[in-house]
Amino acid sequence: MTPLERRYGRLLSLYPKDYRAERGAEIMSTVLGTSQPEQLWPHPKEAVPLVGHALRMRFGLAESQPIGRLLVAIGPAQLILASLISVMSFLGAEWNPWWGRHVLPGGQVGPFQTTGFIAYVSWTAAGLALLFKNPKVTRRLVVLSMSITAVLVPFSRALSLDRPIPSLLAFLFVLGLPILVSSPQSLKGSVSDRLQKVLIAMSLLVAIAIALALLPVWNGSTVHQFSRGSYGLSPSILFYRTDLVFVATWLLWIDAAAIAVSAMLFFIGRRLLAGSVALSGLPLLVLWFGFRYLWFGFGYNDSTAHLLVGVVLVASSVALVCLSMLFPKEQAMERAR
Amino acid sequence: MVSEVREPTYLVLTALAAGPLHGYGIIKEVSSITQGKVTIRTGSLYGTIDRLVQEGLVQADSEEVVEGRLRRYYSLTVEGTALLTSHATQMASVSKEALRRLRVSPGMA
Repeated sequence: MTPLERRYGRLLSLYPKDYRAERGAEIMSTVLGTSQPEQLWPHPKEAVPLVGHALRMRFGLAESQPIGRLLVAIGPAQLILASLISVMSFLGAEWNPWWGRHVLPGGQVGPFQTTGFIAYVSWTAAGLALLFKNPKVTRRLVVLSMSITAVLVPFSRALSLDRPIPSLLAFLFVLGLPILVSSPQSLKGSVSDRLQKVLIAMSLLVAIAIALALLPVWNGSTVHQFSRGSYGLSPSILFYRTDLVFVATWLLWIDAAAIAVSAMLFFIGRRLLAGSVALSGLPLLVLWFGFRYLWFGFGYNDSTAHLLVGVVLVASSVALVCLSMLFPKEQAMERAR
Repeated sequence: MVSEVREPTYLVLTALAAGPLHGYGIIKEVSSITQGKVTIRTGSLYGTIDRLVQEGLVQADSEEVVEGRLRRYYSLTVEGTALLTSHATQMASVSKEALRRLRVSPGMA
């Protein structure tokens, strides 16, 4: 056994045991075929995709596995949603010249309310790259956006600058996960896929619904007393004050509608689409629970009915996703090729 | 309307159109078809093959051991051949029309 073979063997050990037993020798033969005669170490251009495929196989995320197919189906739609939310947040809550008289006291960043604008710009760019069908740039920008989003809170704290509400950042991070864990190949040509067009349309509707739900807050007409006082009424309360947690109950009803659609799709045999729709709705619930608990803490209990609805919706979503994985047979080969 | 087939799928199906190939053979063939512009990496190739096998477009054909290394050959199924034929025909039709319009458009003569 050559040193190169031994080193590739270590990488292949990342595959699940069964898969390695079936395909390991064949993959080794192929990867050695691509190497140079005197090569001693795996080339990063070969090693990185190999490790990526091995880990996706191990965690059930490869495109040949049910959850992997769902992630590939919802990834672009969730990125579009993340971009729309970023544009809304940038214009509605960050851009001071627009809302100048309502500037919050604290550590603003130039013309921006918080450091959040960095993440919003990056997410918006990632969404644009997807729409312009550049899969490589899209993926890189998603990785960049997720990294920025992950470090924004500690970064802001270290520099004593204002930061956006953490649950919004957590939401954006979750929206990027499907593209991060899916195969880079899966983005190629994916925007034109019919299923994803449906999901992108759904995301647009959700974003519009969220915007409509927030309009009363923007107008200042339903502002909770907690946010009155020194901060005044401004769009910036969206991401600082408690009002969003009340209007965010809209998210529950939007998700309930998505689950109803998903259940119908499941029963008419469009199971992959059903699972994708149910999985697409989960981030809405993450956002809703995030607003509740990250802002108020786990002891907060203003509305048991809403909490119950939230828990039922999470259970329903998970059940539909599991059912679509357990019974993946579809009437037509609907999914992306 | 042109049917929706992702680029890696199209390239692998095209590589297999002339006959069964093993993994490294597919990589070389894709590189040759695209004049070296596209290089499929091993990890990506097997992700694509697994998916195509599962979709019934490609099947494992035969195996051989060459210099102690296992080679598994893959070939198109009937469904894979039909999909490739349909997609290639549509692409050719659109390309032909694009070239025709470019030739007749003013200022291009």
